[in-house]
Order: sequence, then C-alpha cells, then structure tokens
Amino acid sequence: MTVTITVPKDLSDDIYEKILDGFKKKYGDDTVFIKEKSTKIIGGFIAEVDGTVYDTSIRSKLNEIKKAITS
Amino acid sequence: MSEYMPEGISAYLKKRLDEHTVKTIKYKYGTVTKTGDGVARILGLPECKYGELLRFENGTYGMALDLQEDHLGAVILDTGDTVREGMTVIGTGKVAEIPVGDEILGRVIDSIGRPLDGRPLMAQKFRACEQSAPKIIERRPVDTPLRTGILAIDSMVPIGMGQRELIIGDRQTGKTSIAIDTILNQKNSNVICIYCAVGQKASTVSRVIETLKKAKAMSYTCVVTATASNSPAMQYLAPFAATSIAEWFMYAGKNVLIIYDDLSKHAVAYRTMSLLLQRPPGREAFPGDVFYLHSRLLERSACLSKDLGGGSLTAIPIIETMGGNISSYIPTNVISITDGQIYLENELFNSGIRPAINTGLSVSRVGRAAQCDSIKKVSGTLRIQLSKFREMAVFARFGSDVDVQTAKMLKKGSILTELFKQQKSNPYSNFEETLLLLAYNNNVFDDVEPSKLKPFCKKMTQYVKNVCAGIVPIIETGFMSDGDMSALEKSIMEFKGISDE
Repeated sequence: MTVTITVPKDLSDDIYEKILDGFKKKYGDDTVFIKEKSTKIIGGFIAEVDGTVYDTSIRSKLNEIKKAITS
Repeated sequence: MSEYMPEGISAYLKKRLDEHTVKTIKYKYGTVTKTGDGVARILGLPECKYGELLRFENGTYGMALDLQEDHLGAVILDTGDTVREGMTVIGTGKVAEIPVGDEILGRVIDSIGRPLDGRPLMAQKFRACEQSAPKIIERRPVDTPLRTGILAIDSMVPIGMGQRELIIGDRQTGKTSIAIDTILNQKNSNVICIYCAVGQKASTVSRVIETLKKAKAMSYTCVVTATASNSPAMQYLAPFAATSIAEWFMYAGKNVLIIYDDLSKHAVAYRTMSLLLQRPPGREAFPGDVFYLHSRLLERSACLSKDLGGGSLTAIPIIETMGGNISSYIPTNVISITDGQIYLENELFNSGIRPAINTGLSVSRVGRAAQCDSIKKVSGTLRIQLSKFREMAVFARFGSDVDVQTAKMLKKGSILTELFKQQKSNPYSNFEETLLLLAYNNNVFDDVEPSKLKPFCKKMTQYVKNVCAGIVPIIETGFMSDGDMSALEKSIMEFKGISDE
C-alpha cells in the first residue's frame, strides 16, 4: 500500500511521525509513504490512498465553511 | 432592521458557523489517461455510476458512459480541448440534471440548463435527465385532440394529447414549419410547448426563436438547444433534458407538447459518441442500442390517468430522410416506435402543394379517437377520396378520355387538394376547419375556379361567422349538434346563392 501525504512546508517531524503512525495502524507496518510539501495548504494534511483522498487541510475546511455560509 | 446591524449580521454568521461541523473530506478520484475528440479515458473512480457527472480539475464537466473493468470512458460536456492528460477527476455522485419549473417558460437553454438568452435563470427545482417512462397502470387511452390548426392534419391524420406522431420527409419539405405552426396554434389552448433543437444550424434555431417571439408564443414555450457546434454529448443529452422539463409539467397535471427537431441528427450524434467510446458498430455504424435510445425517449410521452393529475405529453419527433427513403435504419426505427407519421414529399412541395403531406403514407394510429366531434362529422372519407384522386390523376395524365364518374372524382380531388393548401404561420380555428369541410361535402366549391378558392373561402367564413355568431363559440369547443350543422349548411348555401348572383 502506498500513501501519498501532502503536508504544509513547515510541519515538524514529530507531528509527521504521528500521522504516519495513524496510517500504519490502519494499513499495516509495510505501508510506503511519499511525503510532499506544499505551500498551498496552511495546516492539516491531504492523504491519497488507492484512489481515495482524505482531506483534513485547513484550506479545504475554510472552503467548506465558505460554501456553508454563502449557500 | 436589527438583523442588518453589525450585531445582527455577526449573530447570523455565528449561528451558521455553529450549524456547520468540520469533518475530514473524503472522496474518490481518478486520473485522465487519454483524451481527445470530446471523450476521456479515466483510471480510478471504481464506484462511479453509469451516467454520473464527473468534474475535471479545471472545472469542466463530463459524463461517465462507458464503465469498464479497469478504466472508464467519459464524454466531455464542453467544446474545446480543455481537458488534459494527468488531470484529476472526481465523481459528483449526481446524474445529469436540468432545471424545471414555471421559470423555464419563455427561456432558451442548453442541454444542461445553462441559459443562452443572456438572462440569469433562477430555477429552484431540478430533475434528472434520464427518467423511467410512466407505467401502464399510470396511463389512460388517448382521447383528447391536440389541434395543429393545419386542415389536412386535423382532418386526415389527427393528433391526440399523449400521442407520438412523427413528421418525416426530405430536407426542405416543410417539416419544421408544421411543428412550429402547431406550437403557434396552442396559444389559447393552455398547452405548454417545448422545442428541442438537436444538431441544427444556430441560424435556423435563431430563426425559429424569432418566429415564436413574433407570434408571442414564447410565453408558453421553452427552447432547449444543442446546435451543430456543440459536442456530440450535448446533442445526445438535449432531447432527454427537454423531456424532463416537459415531464415536470405533465406530472403537474398540464398538457405538454414537445418537438424533437430532429432525431436523425440525434442518432448521428449518438453514433459519433459511441464510436469514440469504442463501442462496437452495427448497421450503418450505429451502435446496437440506437433503437433503445429512441424508444426509451419516446416512451416517456404519455396520457396520465386522472389519479396522477391527468396531464399529457404529446411528442412530435422529426426525422429527415435522404432521397425520400423511409426504409433506411433510423426512419424505420422511429416509425415503428411512434403512433403514426406525417410523410412530407418533395414532389408535392415543389408543385406548390403545401403542407406537402402524402396522404397514402401518412397515418395516425390513434385515429378517430383523437378527433373532435365537429371535425369527425365532416371529415368522413377525405383520406380515401384524396388517395383515389392521386391514383386517378396519374392515369388522367396520359390524356385518355375518362368517364363521367372519374371526371367528377378528378374535379373533386383537385378542389380538395386546393382546399388543403395552407400558408405558413396561418393556423385555422376549429370553426374554420369544420366550415370548410362542411362546404366541401355540400359541393359548394364545385364551380369555383381553383385560383379563386382561397378568397371565396375567406368571404364565406366571414359571412357565416356573422350570420351564425351564436354557433361559432360552441363549434370552437369541438362539438356540433345536428341542428347546428344544418344551420351552418343553410347559411353556406345562402352565401353560395349571393355569390352566384
């Protein structure tokens, strides 16, 4: 299983390790991680696993709030 | 006023924020691996439904129509090659929808409901383009006439509300004119009209819209259009979208008329799309389900039972033939699906007989059940008479002597042919139609010169309208008692006496 994780540029290593632990629990210890750093997201992370995207980024949450308020 | 003050606004925003719960967003995505000619091949999206709308990374929409084990094929609903390889695609979970409701009347929209007339469309309700047809138990037999205002059609091939009557003929034989005249004739009859243009030239569509506007018919009409420059996918979708709009009105208990102009171009667009999606080609390279394409579309026309509001959806599809060949693939398909056809002939059109209806090949399978009482009483054997005349006229061309009986038939036939000629955008009222046929049955026109027939009819109608002013509104409703009929006959004869002098 390969998991691609997009994180903010200035994310500390120990928080990143915590995220990896979470995925290892779900998909097993032999999971391969690809780390991508992006300036586009402020906080949170976006993970892509087997065609599914888990988006917990602050950017997307703000977008959701914007949609909810203006609709 | 307090709600517009800063405190009011922040309280409102706070409330909306409290209602909103922040969750992790989870969605499936796919990647475009190949694109071109308006279709895209996508890897991923394993849970995609047939017909689901997909959104590409750049905001373009597509529709999933080819679900394979390892990939899916989608048609792109936009012109121009804006989709690139490697783009991500997400499924919207929705199938193609179209705005419906009263707001749609008077508007010109495309296949996915975008307004094309420069005004915003504020529709509240939406309806999926693909719907299943009303079930047998939900229907009732067709028994109410839908008047076209064209004498030849109303008397010989009457159309009923909920019927599907095909207009078929070569190019430039007046197919669209008949359809537009039918829309114009619905002005005061509470019938909602939908005109769906598929694969037409934009100039033709704009001319039709202009005609409708001029005749003030747009107030009860909606135009759904996918012109020749739109993608095949948009052309494929247009009739289904138009039918969904029509169905909404039908289920609201209204009578609706829908014109598909034309289904041969729709079949061609579907063929293009299917070949690009690499479906196996069949006869004339059409895919195997081209019959089902039209049958499921036309099955959605119905006359609903009283329990469901008693609404109806009458369909007038148009098919363009090549060289008068009605036995090629698509024409035979649609002929077999519909409840009758009006066959227009090039030769008749060019010899000045307009509408150029071939009476031998035109038929209405609903027939007399969908004819109003007054026309039924006067239209008796017109079709047989006209067919016999056309047959005899061929022999008479050789110049041989004909007996008195045949000469009489030829004379009557030529009068009838002349009587059925009708100008474009000039629908007759029910009273006018009844009167003209009644006069014909009483041999009133026998000694009138064919060239003077039209002015004679006009004067006669005016005269009878004045003399029998009390009967006119009754006949306009479609009923005619024997007493009314003899009163009309009397005044026709009176007029004949005056004009002879």
